[in-house]
Amino acid sequence: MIWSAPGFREITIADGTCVDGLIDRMPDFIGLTVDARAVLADTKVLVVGVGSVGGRIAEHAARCRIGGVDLIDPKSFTANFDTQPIRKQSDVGQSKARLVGRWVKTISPGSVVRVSQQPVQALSWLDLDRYDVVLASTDNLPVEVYLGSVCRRLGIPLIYAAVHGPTLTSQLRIFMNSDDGGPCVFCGFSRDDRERMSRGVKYSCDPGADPHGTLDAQPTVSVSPLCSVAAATAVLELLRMRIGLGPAPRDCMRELNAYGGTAVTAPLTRNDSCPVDHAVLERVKVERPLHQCTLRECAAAAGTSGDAAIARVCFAVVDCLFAWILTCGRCGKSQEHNRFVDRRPMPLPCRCRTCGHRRLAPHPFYSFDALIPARKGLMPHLDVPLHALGAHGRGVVVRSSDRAVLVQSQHTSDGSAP
Amino acid sequence: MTMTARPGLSSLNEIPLTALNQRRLELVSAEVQGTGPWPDRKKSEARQLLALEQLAGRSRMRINTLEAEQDLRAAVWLDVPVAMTPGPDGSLNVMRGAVIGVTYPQVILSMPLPGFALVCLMEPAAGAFYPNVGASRGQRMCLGAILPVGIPVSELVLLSYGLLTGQTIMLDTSDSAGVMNVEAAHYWSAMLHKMPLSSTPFLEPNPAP
Repeated sequence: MIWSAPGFREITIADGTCVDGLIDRMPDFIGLTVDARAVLADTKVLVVGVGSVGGRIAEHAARCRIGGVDLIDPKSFTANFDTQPIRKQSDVGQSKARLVGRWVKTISPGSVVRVSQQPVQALSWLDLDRYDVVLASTDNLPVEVYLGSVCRRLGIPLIYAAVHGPTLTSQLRIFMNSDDGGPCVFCGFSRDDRERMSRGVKYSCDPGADPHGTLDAQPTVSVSPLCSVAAATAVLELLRMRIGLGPAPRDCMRELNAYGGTAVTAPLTRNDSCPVDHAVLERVKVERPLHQCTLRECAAAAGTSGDAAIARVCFAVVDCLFAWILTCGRCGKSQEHNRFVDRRPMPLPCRCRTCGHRRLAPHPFYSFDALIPARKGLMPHLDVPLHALGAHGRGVVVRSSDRAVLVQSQHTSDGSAP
Repeated sequence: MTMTARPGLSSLNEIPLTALNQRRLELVSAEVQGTGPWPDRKKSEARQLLALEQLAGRSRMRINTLEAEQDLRAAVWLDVPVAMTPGPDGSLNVMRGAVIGVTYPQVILSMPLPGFALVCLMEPAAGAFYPNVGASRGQRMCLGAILPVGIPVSELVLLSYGLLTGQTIMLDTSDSAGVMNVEAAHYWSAMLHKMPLSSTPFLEPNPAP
């Protein structure tokens, strides 16, 4: 079964490279009620950022025989042997995702290991729906916020691992994303975090950072064992979550401080003034392929019927935006479109009515990138199949004042047009 | 005699709205949707924008469209010179008046966005000739490398005014932050003496009533 997100390449290792005759050292955990090996073999995780901490997370996941390990990181290894999981000079300059991916596959040949060298924001948010847990360690605040909002929307547990070198502290933030009332990543951001994010602070592990600047370069200084602790505790939480060890996991922050040998667990709670949408999407399946369904059917599946009620909801089609108006890149004239278009910039199947040119693009002011109020041009199209509206249909979000529902098809794996 | 200080850009919230603008704000507020602090934030931004229009005077700025059902959207006319693509002889054509379209999504409250993400030049519909205004795809206006988290809508209007008058301009084609029209950047690099197109500040000392 193909479960990995698009844009990933599967790692294969030549025969003879992998270890033969693996010895099983998995303990019989006290209180275990499931087949741990089977559950872990069926677990799919995404590791975002595979540097000093994330690389070790991936390695521990491999040693626990996690069945599916996807790694995503756009960067390459630098000559930082102090903390990064590299072993020889020739590793410097190698893609982090690919190098760690090969290492993971060597350790756990039975795992499906896939790697991507793009930023996680390049994935469609729905691509993350394929994972049981997301583990991240990125040193990048906007990525933290983005990942937090996507995992929250999809209801996927997110484990964020980080280190603070000067205080010898490792930190985990665990977001279960189980309901609307829980915290998101941004809930815990301080004013300082927000300001740093706005100033575009980049850390030294980011290739875009200016090594001589004071604003853009905040060196990630740490020591290897601290990175290992953060990674190991993150994967221990993953194990606990998946095979049900100990108390039920909850939204919390766990810190280990090596100065005093202290460990602290503190609950994470929702900040009522957090501006992020905290809704966790409910899931509904329709029987027909989604591209054959109409918006009215999607609304009905989400519990909204009748024109008056539908007029009060908003729709979003995954990976699409709704363009009222297209604008010509040559003559500048605008024309009505009133259809969905692919979010990725690509040629549209129509021409400018004034000059005949094909350089048409959604007008930035007259297009809806996220939720489209039904009243804003969708009511006349309620009974038109999605494909006739230009939507390819992997999922439709129906949002009312009190519910957020993701409508997908049970007809195909992702509901998209064949 | 006591002098009363004229309200400034930092005190937009303190400017009482006219009856007409109060009514406009009520209409916008009536359709606001969203969760958490987002609906109130949209109302606050809409109010500040209306106050800015009053402060600047309708001879400087007029809000043509204002809605806030999901994203906050405003189409704003500005009294500003607009540089148009030069003719074959290289002479610059300058039009008067622009309409900018501001789309203010919820995500700007939690994420910095690229400088070109929120504002486009709607009128003139084509042919604006600036390094920081895209020549196609709806003439997006780049207002800086990134737009900070929670930047107010009124500030976007002021930044747009600065861009169109040429009071703020980014010409370095080797810097990825900002240049959206390389031809215009090269042109203006050679014609810097013609910038700014206007040095008039957004708020004139004695605004027209």
